[in-house]
Amino acid sequence: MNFAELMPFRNMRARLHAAVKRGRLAVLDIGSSKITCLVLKLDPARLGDAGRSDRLGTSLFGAIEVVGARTVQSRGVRRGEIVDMDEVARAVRLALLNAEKMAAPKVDRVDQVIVSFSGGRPKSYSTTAEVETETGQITERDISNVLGACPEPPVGDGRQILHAQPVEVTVEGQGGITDPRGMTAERLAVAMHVLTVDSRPLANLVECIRQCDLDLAGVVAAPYASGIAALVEDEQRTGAVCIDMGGGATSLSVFLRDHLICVDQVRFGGDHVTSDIAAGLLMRSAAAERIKTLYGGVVPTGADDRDLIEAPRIGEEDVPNRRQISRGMLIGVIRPRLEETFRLLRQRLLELGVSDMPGCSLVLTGAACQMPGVDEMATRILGRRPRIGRPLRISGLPQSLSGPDYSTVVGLATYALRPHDELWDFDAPRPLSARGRATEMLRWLKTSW
Amino acid sequence: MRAVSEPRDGPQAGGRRGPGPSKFIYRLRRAWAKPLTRNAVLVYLPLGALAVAGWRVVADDAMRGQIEAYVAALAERVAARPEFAVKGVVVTGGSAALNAEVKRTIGVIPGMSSLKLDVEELRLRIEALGAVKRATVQFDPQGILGVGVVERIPAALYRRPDGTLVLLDDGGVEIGPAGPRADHPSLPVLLGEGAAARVPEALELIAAASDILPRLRALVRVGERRWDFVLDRGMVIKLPQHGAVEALSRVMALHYGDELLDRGVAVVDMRVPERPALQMTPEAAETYQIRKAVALLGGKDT
Repeated sequence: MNFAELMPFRNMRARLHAAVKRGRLAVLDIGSSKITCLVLKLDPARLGDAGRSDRLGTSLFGAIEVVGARTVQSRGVRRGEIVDMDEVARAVRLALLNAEKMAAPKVDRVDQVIVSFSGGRPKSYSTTAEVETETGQITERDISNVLGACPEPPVGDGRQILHAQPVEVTVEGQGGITDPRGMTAERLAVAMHVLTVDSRPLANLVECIRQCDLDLAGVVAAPYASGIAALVEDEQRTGAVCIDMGGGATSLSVFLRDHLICVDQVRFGGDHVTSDIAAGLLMRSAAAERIKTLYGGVVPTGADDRDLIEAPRIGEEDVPNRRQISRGMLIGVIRPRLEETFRLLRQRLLELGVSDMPGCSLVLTGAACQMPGVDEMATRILGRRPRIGRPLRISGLPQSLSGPDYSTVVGLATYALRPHDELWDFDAPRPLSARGRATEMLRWLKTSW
Repeated sequence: MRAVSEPRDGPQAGGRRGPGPSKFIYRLRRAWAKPLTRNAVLVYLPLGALAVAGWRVVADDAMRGQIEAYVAALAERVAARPEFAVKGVVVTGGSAALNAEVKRTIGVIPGMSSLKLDVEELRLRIEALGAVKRATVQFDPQGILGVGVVERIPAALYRRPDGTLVLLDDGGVEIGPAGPRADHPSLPVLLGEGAAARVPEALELIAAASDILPRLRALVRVGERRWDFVLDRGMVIKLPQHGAVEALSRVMALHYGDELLDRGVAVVDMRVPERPALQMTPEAAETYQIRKAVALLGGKDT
């Protein structure tokens, strides 16, 4: 891997550390249908001394407290990508100001912010490398060397790395090593998961945050954030697929042995269902969204034909005798789109080889999974019974923000707590001569006698 | 320049935008959220302005004089209001003569402002009067200056070396000049240097000799050390420096048993308690000698 291009990520990490030291941080989920901002109060003392001892950071959940929260409607975001930067910046400003206002007595003002990125056609690559250790005992230099030796995946033009995490460390063929430092070994191998996204939408996101006078302390892929919030510790260890059914896209993230190993995305989401209803039944999209959330469903029942729903045509919202449709008709519009989405998901899972992974649980999260019958449809198409994943409870989280549609933002908050093991948290490999003179002398003494 | 998709000037041109603060408002509010800015605007800026204004006033003599004059005039105007006027003075607790004297001492003209009245100073002035033991001065909301005095009760007379009589209370404090001795028949007379300061001691002695009080002429302080009890007929009881009361009690016991003080004794000398001595009057001594001679001759006294 090329360490030279990682400077922006290192800068973001430094800002995150600054935010932890100051004890306040904001997280911002910029989704296609809503923008949520949480203002967090951090306990720097607890975060500082826990260090890397805890792989998942679960013991640290008490060190953060949500003191301010605000959700606003998202305008100018489509499929997770910014299409109207002015509108998005305005909505971000509104969300942040209101969250800060709610947090006012406890936290003065937040400057650093962690943002989710849900668009950009995420694509996962896996890359591995094996090196011989320098001294027969694994040192930090060996870890840097093996990370540097990993071949760069074919990222492609106009795309860039968003996450690059070592997921598997193998020492002399022995896997499942959490910290290889100090182990005696001749050979050290590492497998790395690299997530790439389109660089143009990501640059737009960074620019949008810059326009709001905020320091970017991290950009996290939205499926990854939903996964760490919606999956419990054991699911992350034994393997799980988290399907985040958002407004603009449905994305899946696969976890195994505490690590994200794969991310993929289907570019269909809840907004497409709404536009189907609006187009198919000739309704305004606001009215379509309303009947979708109130009466929408996937599985037809016998009572559907008797349930009449008011579905005004465009222009007849205010007249007394509005059109009424049966619930069966609504289900008939909603169902094909969701079926298509799940079929695409099944195909993706097959391509990734996750379907035949044993003991792999399936977790649905995101706003669209709240539609009744979605879990049954997932069972039927994906062949596995899903669980509706609500985000884990962090202290101070409002009740209204604890549904499955807020997994991403809670995941961003917990991301700040996890010990960071991205590529840019490790030192770049350096040639031997770059070491300090005293260290060099000591090494010479050690090897000579 | 305009955005590509933005509609031309239509009725909805401005209304299409989503809710949210403008960039300026946002920056303003975020700056306000910073404690440093907030404190600067709310605390340091007003304090600074106040300091500058204060310095201007202090530095400029004319302006300061003006302000001082204005404040003084204002105080004067307020003090002159009828609500603050003294309407009367009531003195209670003392004899009529004393009350009159206290009133004279206060000298408050009815109608003067109570704000100019220094009650504490007034109290000290009243207490400086010899006849006043304690005084309370209070000004009630109705405008009446109430003075309560506790009078000193004369306990003894003191004859000064120049012959004038003064009244003393039981603590030895001088109350004032007394008239002739006959005005105060019930008070004992103290004499001698330092006697005035030892009034409690003298009163104790008098209490111990209560039966011979009608005969008591004076208590004389001798050498600022001890007391002499001077009775009528020039009889003197000389008391020791220490244990004077016990010595006097012994004399009284002798008097009760043998009517000692009714006899012709000139001096009862108790100065050395172990060795009391009597000095007879010349007449008594003569009688004694005659009796002794008669007894010696074996005759009977007639």
